Amino acid sequence: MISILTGFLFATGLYLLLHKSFMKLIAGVILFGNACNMFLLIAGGLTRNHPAFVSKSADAVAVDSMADPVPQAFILTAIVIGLGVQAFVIVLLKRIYQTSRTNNLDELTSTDRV
Amino acid sequence: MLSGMLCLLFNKYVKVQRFIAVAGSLLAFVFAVMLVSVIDRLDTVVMQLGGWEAPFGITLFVDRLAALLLCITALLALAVSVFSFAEDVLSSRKKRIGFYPAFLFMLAGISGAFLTGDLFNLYVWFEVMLISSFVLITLGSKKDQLQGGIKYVVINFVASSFLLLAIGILYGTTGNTNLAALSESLRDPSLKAITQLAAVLLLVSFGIKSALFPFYFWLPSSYHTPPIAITAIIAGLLTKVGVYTLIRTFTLLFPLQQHHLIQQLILVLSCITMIIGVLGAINQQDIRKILAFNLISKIGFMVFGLAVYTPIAICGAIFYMLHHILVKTNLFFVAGIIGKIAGSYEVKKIKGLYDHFSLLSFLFMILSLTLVGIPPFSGFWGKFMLVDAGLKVKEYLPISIMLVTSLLTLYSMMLIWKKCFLSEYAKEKQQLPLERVYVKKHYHMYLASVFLLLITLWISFSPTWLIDYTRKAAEQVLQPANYINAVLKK
Repeated sequence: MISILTGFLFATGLYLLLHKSFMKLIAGVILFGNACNMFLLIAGGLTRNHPAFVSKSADAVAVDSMADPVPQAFILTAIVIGLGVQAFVIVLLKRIYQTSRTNNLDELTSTDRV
Repeated sequence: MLSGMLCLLFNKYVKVQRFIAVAGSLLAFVFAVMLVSVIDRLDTVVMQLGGWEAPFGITLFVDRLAALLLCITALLALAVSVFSFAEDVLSSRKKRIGFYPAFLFMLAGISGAFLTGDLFNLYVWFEVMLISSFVLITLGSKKDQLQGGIKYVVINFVASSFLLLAIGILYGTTGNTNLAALSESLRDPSLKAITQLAAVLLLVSFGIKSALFPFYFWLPSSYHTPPIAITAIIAGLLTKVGVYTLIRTFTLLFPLQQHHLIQQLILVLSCITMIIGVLGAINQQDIRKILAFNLISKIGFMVFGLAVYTPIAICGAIFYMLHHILVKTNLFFVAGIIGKIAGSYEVKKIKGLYDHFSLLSFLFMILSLTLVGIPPFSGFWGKFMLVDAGLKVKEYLPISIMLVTSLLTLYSMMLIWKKCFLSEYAKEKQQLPLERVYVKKHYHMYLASVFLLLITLWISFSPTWLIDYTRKAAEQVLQPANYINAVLKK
């Protein structure tokens, strides 16, 4: 179920990334980043109902049934970094809109001309 | 020793003033030189951050290759900080907004990427480096900068996502992100199908970062937009980090002798990169864009060295990488000076520089010849090793492409030379200032440029020790077992 959801997120993210509109680009960046995080979670192996905590009361820690904390740590880092990038993209696009007065990525060609 | 260097990296963040930037890069350079000599004796230095043992904690790992690159990074940092002293290279507003913090953050990211021995940590360093380079490229928010910047940001975001995906796959199959531990578990042939997928993802990710064909489009559209000091450091270093990680990945994680398909792929990509880059360069009218396209074709050279995958080829690639970092940055410096003098980067608008600026012309000429690889300059040695290695494994077509590319590079550089330097200066226009006066006024720019040129010449005329060092580095890189043993303490 989550795999399908992730695949769907990837597809949507990519589709939106390839759009001309700024808003869709932003949405694409966000979705694509989240899809990657979900992918990390799945690839690391999902374990249901066993959070990666060691409870104080339990004497022995059941390591086998516990969820692997490492992918979660990865995702946490990736989310933070992704957040930074997303914020940057949003501000950047706002500035582009202010200077170029356009909402179409195809019109941003002033640096590509010979 | 290594921790001293790390402290330096972390201390740099808060220090904003330019003198501290210079002091920081000088210190980093001194440490890096010490590191190079230490590595010469010890071969490798390993450090485990956070006190966890190797496959679990974060490993920092330095071998000859990393040490050399660290050294050259610090050297460039020094030159660029000096160059950016010069008035109106960066407007004062830009300095206030924070050229130096972003610059130093980026250097920390680059050094971190060279140092790290952990794939996820590499991702983090990459992001540090990229986000600060985003800031640098869009600093000042001119229209062109923003437009070039958005392409750069989005494509690099996708590249980083691919890296993340590859990490996910590798962690899922092996349960490790430590490069040494990964390398060991990836030798298991039963994992081949899934690791090949990860290998391709990594290739795409690092390929985008190093502007390999067909992922190079972002480079020429963004590299020429920021002020020249920023362009110089970014062009000199960022793509090389991509090449470094490619070398690291495909020697350590996926040794190419076991992955022939990928080897062929890299070979073909490198050839196309060479040709496309240089053809683009010939077509351009803006000096900075010509240099940017030339940069792409030279990336092809280095990756070709990786694809051939013999000690001498890797050695040539590393040597060429070092030489190219120096020369390309310096050429951007010179382009910056030209742009400052002429008020434009358009080849057509600049005329008659040779009459008034003999020192500048001299710099440009030497650098162009070095870039192309005319003996006895340093480009020649690197190229010679690459061609030699290619001939040994009978890759005649790539070799011929490489030689033709060099010729065309020469052509594109001489086009600038002929049009900008040798042409008659139109008398009726405003008289150009005298060079003596100009040098006095902007001595920082000249100082940085001449400084790098001297180092280039030094490498050119006494290449033996460096070739020796890179040869050892290449042999070391091709022996992943040493790496694994050093990190995992077997």
